[in-house]
Amino acid sequence: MSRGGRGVLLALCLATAPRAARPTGFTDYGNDILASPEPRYGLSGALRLRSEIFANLDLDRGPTPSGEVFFPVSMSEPGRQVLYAGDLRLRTDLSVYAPGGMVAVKARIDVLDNLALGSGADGLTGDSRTQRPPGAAFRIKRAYGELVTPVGYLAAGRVGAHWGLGLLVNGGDCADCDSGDAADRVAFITPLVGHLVALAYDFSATGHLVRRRDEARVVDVEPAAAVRSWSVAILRHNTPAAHRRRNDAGRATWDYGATYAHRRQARDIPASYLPLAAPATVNAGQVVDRGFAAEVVDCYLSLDFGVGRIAVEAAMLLASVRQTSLTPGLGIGAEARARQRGAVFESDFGLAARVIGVGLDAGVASGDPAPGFGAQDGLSQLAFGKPGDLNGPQADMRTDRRIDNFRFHPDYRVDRILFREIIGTVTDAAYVRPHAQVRLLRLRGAELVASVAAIASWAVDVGSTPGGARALGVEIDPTLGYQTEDGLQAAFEYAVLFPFAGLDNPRLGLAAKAGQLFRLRLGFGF
Amino acid sequence: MRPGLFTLLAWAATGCGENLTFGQSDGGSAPGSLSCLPNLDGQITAAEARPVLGRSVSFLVSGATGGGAVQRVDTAGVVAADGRRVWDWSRGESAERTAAVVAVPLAAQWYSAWFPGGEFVAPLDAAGRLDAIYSIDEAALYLHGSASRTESPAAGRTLLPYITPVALLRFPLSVGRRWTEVGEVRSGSLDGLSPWSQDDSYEVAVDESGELVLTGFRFQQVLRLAIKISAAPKTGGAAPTSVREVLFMFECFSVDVARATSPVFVTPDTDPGASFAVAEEVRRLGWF
Repeated sequence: MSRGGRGVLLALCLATAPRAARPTGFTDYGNDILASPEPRYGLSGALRLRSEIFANLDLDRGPTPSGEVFFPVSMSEPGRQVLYAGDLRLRTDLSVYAPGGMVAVKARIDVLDNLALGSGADGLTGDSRTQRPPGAAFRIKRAYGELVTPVGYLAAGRVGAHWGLGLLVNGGDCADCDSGDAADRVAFITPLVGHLVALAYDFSATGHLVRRRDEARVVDVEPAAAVRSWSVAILRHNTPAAHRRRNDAGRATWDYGATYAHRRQARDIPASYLPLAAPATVNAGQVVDRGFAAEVVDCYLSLDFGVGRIAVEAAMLLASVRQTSLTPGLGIGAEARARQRGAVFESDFGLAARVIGVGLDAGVASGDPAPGFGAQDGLSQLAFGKPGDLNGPQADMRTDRRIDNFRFHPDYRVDRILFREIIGTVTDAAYVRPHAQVRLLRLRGAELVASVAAIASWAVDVGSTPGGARALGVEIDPTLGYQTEDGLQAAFEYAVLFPFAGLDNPRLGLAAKAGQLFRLRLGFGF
Repeated sequence: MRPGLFTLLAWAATGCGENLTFGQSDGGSAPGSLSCLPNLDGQITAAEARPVLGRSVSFLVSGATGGGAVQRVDTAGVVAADGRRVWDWSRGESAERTAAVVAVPLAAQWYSAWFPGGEFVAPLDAAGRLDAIYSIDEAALYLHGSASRTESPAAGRTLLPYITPVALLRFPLSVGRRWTEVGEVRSGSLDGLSPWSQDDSYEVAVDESGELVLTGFRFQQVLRLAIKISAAPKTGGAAPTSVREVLFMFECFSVDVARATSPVFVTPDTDPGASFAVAEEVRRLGWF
C-alpha cells in the first residue's frame, strides 16, 4: 500500500466523531465515516446574529457618471450619514452515517439565512407584535451522499466547493461568510503516491427543462445549452490533528495542491436568465450559439512550522466566447476572450506562545482597462460603463473584446469596507495587509483577543477607478473578539476607510471622505 | 499629495457631517429589465416594434438625401444554398458617417400642439433638420406628419401635419402583407412657404424575409419592407415626386436596422422598382 493510502486509512481510523457537511472540497474525503452497528447522526452549526452601523460609506463623493452611488443612502433624508442593518442565520450541518462504515449522507440547511432583523413585522409596522416567518425559511445549500470504497472515496449530490485558500472557489464556511459555492457534482478521490488525486464532474447548468408525463420529473430538451465542467486535482492535505501532532514533534507541515478545470457550453438560452419585463416563451427560436470554453489552473501551497504559517495561492482563468450576443437571431461577429490572474499571500507568526501574533498578507487581481472595476456579474451590467463609474461591464464589443479582471471570491475576506461593501470584491486591485493580534485574557477555556489589520490598496489599471488615480485608500480594521470552548463567539469589529484619489469624483469636484463601520457579531455554536 | 497617517483620523471625522451624496434614493444600480426579446416567429408585433424613448441608436450613413451622389446597393439579395435569402450589407462606403437616432416624447417639442394624438418623435432625415411625429398602438405605427426640428430654422419653418395620421406600419408585420395609405396636409408650411398643401402616398409591402449581414452583426430573420412614397403638392404648381425605400426590420429593434433610399423620380418610366440597385442614401445599424 502506498504511503498516501496508509495515510488515508490512518485518518479513517483516527476520526471518531461525526462531522458536519464541512470542510468542503477535495480535502473532505470521508475520514469521518466509521463502522458502527447502528446508524449514527451528527448535528452541528451555529446561530449567528450581526448588527451593523454604517457611517458615510458612500464617502460623500457623489454619484458616478452612470448615477450609481458607492453605498445606499437614505431615501427621505439625503443628508443622513448613518444607516443600520442587522441579520441572523441559523446554520445547521446534518450528517447521517449508515451502519457498516461505508455510506454517509450529509446536508447543510441554513434557516432564516441572513434574515434582516425586523423584516417580518406583521400588519401595521407601528402596531406589529410579532414577526412573520419568511416565505422560504429553509435553504438547503448542500445535500450529498458519500461512499468509502477500498479504492477511494465517492461523493455525489450538491456538495460544497472549496479550493485552497478560497481565492477562486470558496465554500463560505467562515463565521462571517455570506455566500459559499456549491456544485452539483460527482467526485472521486483516491490516494496515490502520498497524495490525493481527485476527479470531479459538475452539472453546472441545464439547457431547458420540461416536465415529463408524471409531472414530477423533468428532462433537458436542449442539452447543447447545458454547461458541463470537469476538474482534476492533486493535493497533499493534512488534517488539523495531523498539524498539531507534527507541530508537537517540531516538524513543519506542507499542504499543497494543483487543479485544472475545464468548462464548456455550445449553445445558450438567454431567455432563461435575462431580466425580462415579461416572461418569454422558451422555444427553439430562443436558442443561440455561444461557443464558450474556459480553463482554470489554480495552485496553492501552505507551510505550517509551528510558530508560524505562510500560504500562497495563484490562479489563472482563460476563456473565450465565440458568440457574445444575448439576443436570439442577432449574431455578433466578434469573439470575446479573457485572461484573468490572481494571487494571494498569507502569513501568521506567533510570538511568546502565540500570545502575540503578527503577519502580513498581500494579494493582487489582474485588471482590465474598461471603466469600473467589474466586480458585479454580467447580468448586473447590461449597460456600457462610463469613465468614472464604480462598476461596469469590462467588455464593450465595439472596441474592447477582452475581460481580463480577475475577481476574488467575495467570501475571501480582505477588509470590511472598500472591497467588501463598496467595490464588492477584490478585482483589478492589489493590496498589502499587515496584521497583529494579542491575547488579552485566557481563562477556563475562554479567550479575549484584540487584533488589528491595516489594508492599503491600489488599482491595477488606473482607467478602472472612479477617480482616475491608482491609490484607493487605507483601511484600519480593529477587532475585539471573545470566544469560549462551549461555542460562544462574540466579536466587536470596527473599520475606517481613508479614501485616496482613486475614489474621488473629479467630475463633480468632490473628494472622497472617510467612511466607518461598526459591527457586533454573536455566534452560538453547537 | 496625500496626507500622512496622522491626518487620517481627521479625515474620519469629516464623515460625520451632512451627507453630500444627493439625488439617489435607492443607492443602487439595479439592472433594468428588458422589455422585449425576439422570438423569431416570422412576424413583428406592436410590442416588438415599440420604441424605447431616449435610447440612442447609432447608424452608419453613406450618401446624403438630396445630395445627388448615388451608390450601388443590393436590395434584392441572393438566395443561399439552404433557400434563405441573404442580403450582405457588411461592406459600406468609405465615406460613411455616424448618425444617432433617438426617439423622444412629443410633449417637449415646439410643434406638439399641431399633432394631437402624437406620442413621440424621431429624426426624419440624416441631417437632423426634420422630425417625424409618431404614435403606436396594437394595430399600427402611425405617422402624424413632420416638422422642422427648430421653430425658426434658417431655411424657414416646416410644419406638415396630416389631417388623419397614416398607418405607416400595420401590425403584425409578416411577409405578404401590403397596404397603401394617404396623408393629407392642408394649410401647412414647407421651408417657410405657407400655406402649403400636399398629399403623401405610402405604398408598403412586406415582401421578403431572410438574413441580413451588417458590419459586425448578422440578423437571422429580418423582414424586408418595400415602400414607395409619393408627394403630390397641391399648391405652387410643383410636380409630384416619388422615392422608394427598402427597410429591414428585426424583432425588438424599434427602428429599421438598415435602409436604402432611391434617388427621387418623377415619372413612372424612371421608377427604379422595389429592388432598386442604386441608392442615394444607405444607412446601416452601428454599435448600439
